[in-house]
Amino acid sequence: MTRVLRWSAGALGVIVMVVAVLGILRDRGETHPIALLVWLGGSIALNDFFIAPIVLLVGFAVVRVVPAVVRPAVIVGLMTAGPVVFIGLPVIYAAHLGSRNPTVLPLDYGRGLFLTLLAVAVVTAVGAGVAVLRARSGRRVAG
Amino acid sequence: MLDSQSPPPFWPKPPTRLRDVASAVAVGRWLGLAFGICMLTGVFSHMHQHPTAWFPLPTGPTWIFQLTQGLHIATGLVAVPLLLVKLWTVYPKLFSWPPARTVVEILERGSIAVLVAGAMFELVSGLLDTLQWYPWPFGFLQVHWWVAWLTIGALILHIAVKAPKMAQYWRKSARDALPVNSDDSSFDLVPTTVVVDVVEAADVDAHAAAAAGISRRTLLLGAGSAALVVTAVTAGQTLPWLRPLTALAPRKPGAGESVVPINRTAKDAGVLDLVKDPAWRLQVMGSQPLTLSLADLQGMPVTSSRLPIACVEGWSATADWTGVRLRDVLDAAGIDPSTDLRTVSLEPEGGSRSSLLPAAFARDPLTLLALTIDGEELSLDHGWPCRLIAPGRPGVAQTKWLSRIEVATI
Repeated sequence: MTRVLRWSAGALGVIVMVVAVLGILRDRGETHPIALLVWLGGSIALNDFFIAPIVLLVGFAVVRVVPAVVRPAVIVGLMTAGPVVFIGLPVIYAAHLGSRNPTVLPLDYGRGLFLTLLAVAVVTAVGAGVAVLRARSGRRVAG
Repeated sequence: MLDSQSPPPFWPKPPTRLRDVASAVAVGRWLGLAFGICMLTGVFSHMHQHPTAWFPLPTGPTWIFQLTQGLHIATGLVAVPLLLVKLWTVYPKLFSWPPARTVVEILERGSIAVLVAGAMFELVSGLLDTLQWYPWPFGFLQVHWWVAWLTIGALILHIAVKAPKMAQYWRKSARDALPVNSDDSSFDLVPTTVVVDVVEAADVDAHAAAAAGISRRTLLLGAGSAALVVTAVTAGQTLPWLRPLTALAPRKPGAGESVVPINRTAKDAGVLDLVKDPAWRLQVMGSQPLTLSLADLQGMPVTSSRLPIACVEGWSATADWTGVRLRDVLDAAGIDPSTDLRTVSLEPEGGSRSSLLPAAFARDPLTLLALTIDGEELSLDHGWPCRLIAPGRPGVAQTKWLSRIEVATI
């Protein structure tokens, strides 16, 4: 029964993918399949050979540099800051390019990103401080 | 787990032992949920922009499109950190040796490549589209739509393939029962040698060995924290109570010249001269066609509706509109209540030039030919002299600078 369900789901997935590819080819005037294929391949390469290695290097540095007691707090802080930067940078760049009217991208996004990262840093510092105090008071450090 | 045969010298070694099935399952199910919500709300939005007879769209509650499209964008943004964490947890799989043993395995790994690339594409193209910065040759609507199906297909296949592992690691008690240093759940951020150094120095147990890298708890806390902060600084574009925290949202209702943001200005739409023409009339094509001047409309019984403009880009703002009830005008023009309509703008071209208006929306008592917004005459950019406002519809379908209302077949 489970086996039938799994194979049926797998087959459904394949069918949906085939339909999608046919749709992309049918609308090729709009979808530009070659450019799209380059984008898709490039995104995998970008993640596997650029973003992931950078994250690994940062992780390696954190383990080397940051004391074990505060490491979880620092890692949570960095994991929060990363996606905020990932989303914030294109917003700043798009605002820099200029918008079509004043209600589109109306804010100072450089300031917004700075304040968001500052808030993350403050909360991280508080978390690290709490971890140090808890370690000193002899309780088991949660991690 | 792998063949005993060792990889050739050029093959990169897995950089760490950070692969951890339990974390991949835990993050994966949140990511799967996010993609599920994005897909359903995306299809809903698509049906609004391409109405068909077999999919009757709900006219209420008035905020339904605000909710679905707000969710679409918010879950898409939340999926950014979840996807990055998920990719990180499975990164060493990239270096497994041999890369694939059977044809089925080749196809399975291929489908994961499609899933990863499709997921990245949907999130990045969606984000940049909301910024109105779209630097690619392919059209957003068609590509975002088809790649969504491609990604969901790959996701269904992926779930089917991984179902046994997911079942094994689904419940927290089951995950915790697994030994920390078992092959599937050992989970260190750094090369093994470093962990061994730390562990030897500290002379602690296996739990501490995991903590020397990154524990599952820290990982999930990080993913959750990122999702929370990303939402907090962006969701104010649709949730008024989060507006004070809005730091990175592409829109902020109330910022700029108008409380309700504007997507297409009269200048962009090329209607500046057309709307100022004193000969402007609204044509209503029925069995008794009507030709209405602005004074005619203002002279008819006027009513008010409190309705949102909810953009497909994920922002929304609610306003008080006054105008003539559309159904009264349709009755006067002799249009049958079951008739679907098309509203046509003065705009010479573009996706917002005309919109299909199913009969249920046309006949809703809240649907207006709006003449004022928040007590003031419509501005040129809000669609003066007259625009459509109906409940539960995307902003792009609330036709501005109306020139004609005609019978249509859906």
